[in-house]
Amino acid sequence: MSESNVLLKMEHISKSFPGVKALDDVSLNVKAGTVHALMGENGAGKSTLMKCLFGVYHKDEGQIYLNGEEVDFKDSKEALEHGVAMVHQELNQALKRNVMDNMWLGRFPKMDNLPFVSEKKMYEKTMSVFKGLNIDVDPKKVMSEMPVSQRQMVEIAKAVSYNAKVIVFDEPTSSLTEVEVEHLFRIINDLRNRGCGIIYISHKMDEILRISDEITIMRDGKYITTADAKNITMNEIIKLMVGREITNVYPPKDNVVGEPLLEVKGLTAEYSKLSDVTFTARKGEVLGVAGLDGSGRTELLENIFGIATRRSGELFLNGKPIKNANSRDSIKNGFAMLTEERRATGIFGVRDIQANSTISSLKRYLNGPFLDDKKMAEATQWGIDKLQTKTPSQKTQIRSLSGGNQQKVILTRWLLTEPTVLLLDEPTRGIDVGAKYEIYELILDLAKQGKCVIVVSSEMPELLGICDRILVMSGGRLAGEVDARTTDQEEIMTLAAKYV
Amino acid sequence: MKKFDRKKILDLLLNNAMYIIIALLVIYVSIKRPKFLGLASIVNIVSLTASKLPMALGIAGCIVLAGTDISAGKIVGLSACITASLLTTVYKIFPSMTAPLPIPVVLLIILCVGGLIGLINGFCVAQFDLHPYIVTLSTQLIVYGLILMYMMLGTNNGMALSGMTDSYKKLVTGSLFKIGTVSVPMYVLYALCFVVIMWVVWNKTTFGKNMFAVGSNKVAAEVSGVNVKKTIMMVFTLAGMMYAITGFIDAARVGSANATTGLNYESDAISACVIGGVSFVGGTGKISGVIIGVLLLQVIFAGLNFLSVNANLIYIVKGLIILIACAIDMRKYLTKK
Amino acid sequence: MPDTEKEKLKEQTKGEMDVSPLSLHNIYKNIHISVRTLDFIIVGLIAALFVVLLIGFNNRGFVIEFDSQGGTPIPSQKLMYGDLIEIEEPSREGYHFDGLSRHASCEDRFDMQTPIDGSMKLYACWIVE
Repeated sequence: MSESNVLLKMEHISKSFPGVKALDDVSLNVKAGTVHALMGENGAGKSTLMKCLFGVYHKDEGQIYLNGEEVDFKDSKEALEHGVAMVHQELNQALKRNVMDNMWLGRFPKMDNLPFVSEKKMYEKTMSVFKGLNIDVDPKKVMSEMPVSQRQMVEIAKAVSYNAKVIVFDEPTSSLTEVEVEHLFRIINDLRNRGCGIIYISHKMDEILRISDEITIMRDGKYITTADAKNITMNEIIKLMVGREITNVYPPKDNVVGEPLLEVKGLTAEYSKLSDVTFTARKGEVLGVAGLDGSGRTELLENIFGIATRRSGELFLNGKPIKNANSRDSIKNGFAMLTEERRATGIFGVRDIQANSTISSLKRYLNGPFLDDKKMAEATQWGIDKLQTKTPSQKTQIRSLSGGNQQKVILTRWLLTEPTVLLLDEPTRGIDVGAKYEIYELILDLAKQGKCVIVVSSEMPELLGICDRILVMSGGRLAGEVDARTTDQEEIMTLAAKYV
Repeated sequence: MKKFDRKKILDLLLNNAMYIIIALLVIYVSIKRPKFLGLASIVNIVSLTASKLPMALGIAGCIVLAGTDISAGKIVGLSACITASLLTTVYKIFPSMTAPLPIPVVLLIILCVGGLIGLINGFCVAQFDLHPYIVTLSTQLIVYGLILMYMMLGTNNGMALSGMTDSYKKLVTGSLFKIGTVSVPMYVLYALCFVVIMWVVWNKTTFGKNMFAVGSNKVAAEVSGVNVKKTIMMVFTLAGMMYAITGFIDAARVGSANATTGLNYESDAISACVIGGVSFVGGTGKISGVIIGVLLLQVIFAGLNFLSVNANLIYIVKGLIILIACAIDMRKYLTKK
Repeated sequence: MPDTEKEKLKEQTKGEMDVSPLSLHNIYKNIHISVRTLDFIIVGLIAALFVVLLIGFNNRGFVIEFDSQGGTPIPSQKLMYGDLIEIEEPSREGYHFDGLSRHASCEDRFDMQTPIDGSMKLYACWIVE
């Protein structure tokens, strides 16, 4: 391919932070009319590279060329004006304002001779952009009333309205349903056909292989290789990303399912759709919960753990009725809950590893009325060793760790309460392949100790890989129960759509 | 490389701007007025620090919860007035009294009053999920009304209360020990005791750990089995008691108490906490930071006073200091992201 | 399953999701201000502080006001920290001057040997001749 075809060229980019070399001589060439996937484990430097492009960080070395001209953007606004746009993982939008306000924010179309904003012009301009992209969204709708997928469409439309030539997608599908993903891919294909260069960052292998033309792989801040997507397989990518061969994505299952442990009868929630869920979980069992987003998976766990209000229903542990009126009661009964939104409801960001690990089990370290520092340090160290958490020390603030290590610290918190029933909501969301494997191992290890682990996940291969049975939720109801060894993704999907 | 160094130096300068300003001020004042570094002046600063410490320790807990407490000054005033009216030789508020109440009884009364108002603050914050700013804004008005009504009781008619008993004055302002001719008052010792107590509460109890967890992430704390509502109520109650003690000390230290006792004390305490690194981000802070904050603030005020700077101007300085301290604090949390 | 049905499901469940106690994460937004902007604000505030201090240093002095309470007026004075108050004795028909007090009721007397450490108002006290 010729040089002139290259739209965006990043050459020999290096960036250091105190003590860490985040980027080491990384190059990236995005050709016009292609989708270029950027892959790597968490912490490989993908986001840092993009932040250097958008001027969030100043690169120490290297050059960036756009259409052959050297550029050095000061901020994302300047980048946008030069036709380089980003569709963020977490959308930055004015949620209380409507669609067109968000599209034209900072450059509202004016009336012909007056310095006032022209609503009419704004509406027409918005509609023409939407039509070009086949997006069916009312420009006057308020952002917060729309699902994430539509808000994302607006973000893409905004990029297009700036006449963007290079569009970066950062984990765009993490909160979309499969139908929405299809729609997104149609739009991406459309953009590609218009001659845009697209940088696509995602952890989902199957998506990458489907949509991308070229793949650049990074590891530990270094450029590894760029390959044609047609000539590479998923296993090869994983191998290049982690630098070692993962022969088995899931650890071997050798847990033994025993007696019934937890019985849930007719569980109905007061404020959510969850209604009349009945199931039994057994000792030594890994029980999966599948379903679409909003099918009541998370609500099921919240209701069992007592952090959402129950309308009716009974819980039995070892045949004895229990209440689980609130989180404290549940912890006393031997329950543990890992929440879905790690940053919002899991970690105590500014607190250190020790405080984050011991908060749920403080009573165990009491020496008279006072806490024993030594006992707490020992417990924390036990967790760090057991889960192989990578942290400089126990006194490190948890927010400075990577997602996977944060998740391990929260798991430590719950293991220290010595639970018998673990409720894990999306335990591997947003963490890298290596850490995922370690968490699977831990889940199976816990099951082997006779504990019951209930796992909610939107990644179906994951459920099929580690669970014994899978409950399928649909529209707040239990649509069915399948044996993980004999079922397949299609059966689960059919059940998930049962009460829609 | 040179540019990198310059950036680093700028970082260092800005992150420590508050301390640099204070150092410059101390140098300036001590050149102009060498007596500023004299023993009498230093003991004066230490005593003033000690008198404000219990209150700052209380308010620091509220700030750790990512909240604030602006009713603090008024609670100090109320407790000072109650103390001055009960431990007195002239029975203006309660003309039927014939002898002052025993000191422990008065202490118990003001602790109950301060604790109760704190509990009301905490209850509203915890149960109705209101922002502490709004809650304490309301309670400080209510408390102020109560002070004014209390001062109108008996034959007092709103006048300042003075004429406190000697045993009470001696207990608070009596000499702990003397350095040369300068005597260090007893309340320095009490302040030290409260520092130790609060350090233990913050670092060695489940309540302390829970407080930091709630301040850092309320929802995560609830999921992790922390009784969030109880913790919030306890923090505010404890804070209320600390204000009451500040009032108890202040009445004897100043020698009189009236409706304006404790006015604007909360702004001093809050700025001391922010200077000392108890961040409004919530979930961070150390007792040592609070002590340093209160001390530095008193150094500033004493220095300005030594220069005979007009009191009206000092209000403006106070306001600017709070803003600068908050901005610098925010900077620390931004750069780490 | 048809696309429209899945869309419908998402639409239907959206409202309920917001009620869940765990979806409060929307309030945990990052602070959207760049370090550079913040630096300018800090430098600006520090500059303001210096200006205020400069004004303070150039207008030094505590103002001591007097209320002669019926006698000949006493002009107010501007004194420095540590200075002593000196006044010309005021006079009043039928009374003789009995010193100054911090309170209008003259329940106590102000010791003229006290060094000044702030602005204040003093009241003249009179005794019937």
